[in-house]
Amino acid sequence: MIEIKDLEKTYAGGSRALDHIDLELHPGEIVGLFGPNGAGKTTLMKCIFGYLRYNGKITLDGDPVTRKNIARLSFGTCEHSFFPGITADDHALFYRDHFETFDERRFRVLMDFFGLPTDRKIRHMSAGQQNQFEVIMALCQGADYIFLDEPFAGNDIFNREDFYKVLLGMLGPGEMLMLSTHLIEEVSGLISRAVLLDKGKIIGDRQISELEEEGTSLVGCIKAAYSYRPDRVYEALDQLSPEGQ
Amino acid sequence: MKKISSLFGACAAESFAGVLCVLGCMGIVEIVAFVLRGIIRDAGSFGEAAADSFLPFICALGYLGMFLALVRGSGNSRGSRYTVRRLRVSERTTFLVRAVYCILCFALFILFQAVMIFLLAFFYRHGRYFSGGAEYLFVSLRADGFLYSIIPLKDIWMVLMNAACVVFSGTAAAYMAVLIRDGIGPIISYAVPVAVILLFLMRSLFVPFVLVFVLLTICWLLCLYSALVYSGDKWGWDRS
Repeated sequence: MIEIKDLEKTYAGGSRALDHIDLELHPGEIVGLFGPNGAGKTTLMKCIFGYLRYNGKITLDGDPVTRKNIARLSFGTCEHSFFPGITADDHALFYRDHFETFDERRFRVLMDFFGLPTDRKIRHMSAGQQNQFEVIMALCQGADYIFLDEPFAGNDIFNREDFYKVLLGMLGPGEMLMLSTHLIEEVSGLISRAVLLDKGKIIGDRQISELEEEGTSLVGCIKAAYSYRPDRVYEALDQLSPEGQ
Repeated sequence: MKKISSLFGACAAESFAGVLCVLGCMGIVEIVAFVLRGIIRDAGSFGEAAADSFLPFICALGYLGMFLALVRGSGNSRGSRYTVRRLRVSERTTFLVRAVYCILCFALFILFQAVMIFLLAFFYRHGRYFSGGAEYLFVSLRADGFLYSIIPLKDIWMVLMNAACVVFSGTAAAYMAVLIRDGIGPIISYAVPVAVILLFLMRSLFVPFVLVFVLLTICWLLCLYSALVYSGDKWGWDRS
């Protein structure tokens, strides 16, 4: 289990990205991490990996996340974490050398699924293909806890929907997946839990089964949590109209 | 060892295209320069020494290009750092792997220069001794094309100087790449590797040999120390 206690992150200049975050992530969960831009989703993930310094405590099965156990976590990010100058096959070789649990079979299946070339340098792939490759590497590392930050950018709806189905069938019972995305409706059938962030604070943490029992949709829950104001659209249009000037 | 070698390969793949590009450009520029040099000398409008004087500048330009190519690449892309930092290889080892790669690239550059000088001298031999010098790597040919000497013994200190500069510059490039990758450090941190490369460029031009060598050594030690302390600092590189 990943346990986050009283996590705080303040960037240079004083802006507080995370504010007293307490969170537990359990094996087998598929967690959706939602929030508007700047809510702190990416910062939270980077803190878990130790890419950013923070105040607070993050443990993995009771131990701090260090170089000794960080291979149990994998990270797929829209900033990309691959080597642009080498091919997909070479990435597989590299991962095999460095991660004992690298899942070669999963790698081949997913490469086939997305139809990605294995012998082309990653920098020569399209932006959508690069994002797909990023997700593949995160899923194939053999990590127990998989974090995907905006993984589906640049992918068409058919690829995404099919991939959700493959993902559901592929993940083992001990694998935890945390997904940061704005595609709330699309992933609502995939995730088992939704964590809502706003201005660095957790403003909601709901099990999808609970929402289903209440008869509430995920989108409805999120709109309520963020005090969504549909009238702001009309306000803006009114101001833009000739009468509003 | 297998892990280190695969890391070395991944780092090398990031910037090797840039290194080859620099070597290619240098080859073209030097061929043009040698042809011009021949024309100038044959025309007799300038002295031979004057015609030769711009060759070290061309080499220095290539060295600067190599430095920039290595700083820009050498496995320090913003993305791949996330992967590298998830490996069971320490940051310090990663830095040293990159430094070794950069040193080998500079050595390749010097070797390339030697080969270029040799080939150009061979194809451009005239009635007298030909002596071409790429930053003190000497190749001399006699009129009949017979190889007179490569790196004459009297220039052994210059050869050592070259070797030292290769090591210093490689370390400086790797260090600067790390600083730029992480976007951290005060300006003074950048000053050390910049000083190394500037001193290298000046070493054959204006400044006395011993002074440059001493300054280079001091800069290199500072550079290495600060890189090792920095990379062994602690988990998490973010300074904000």
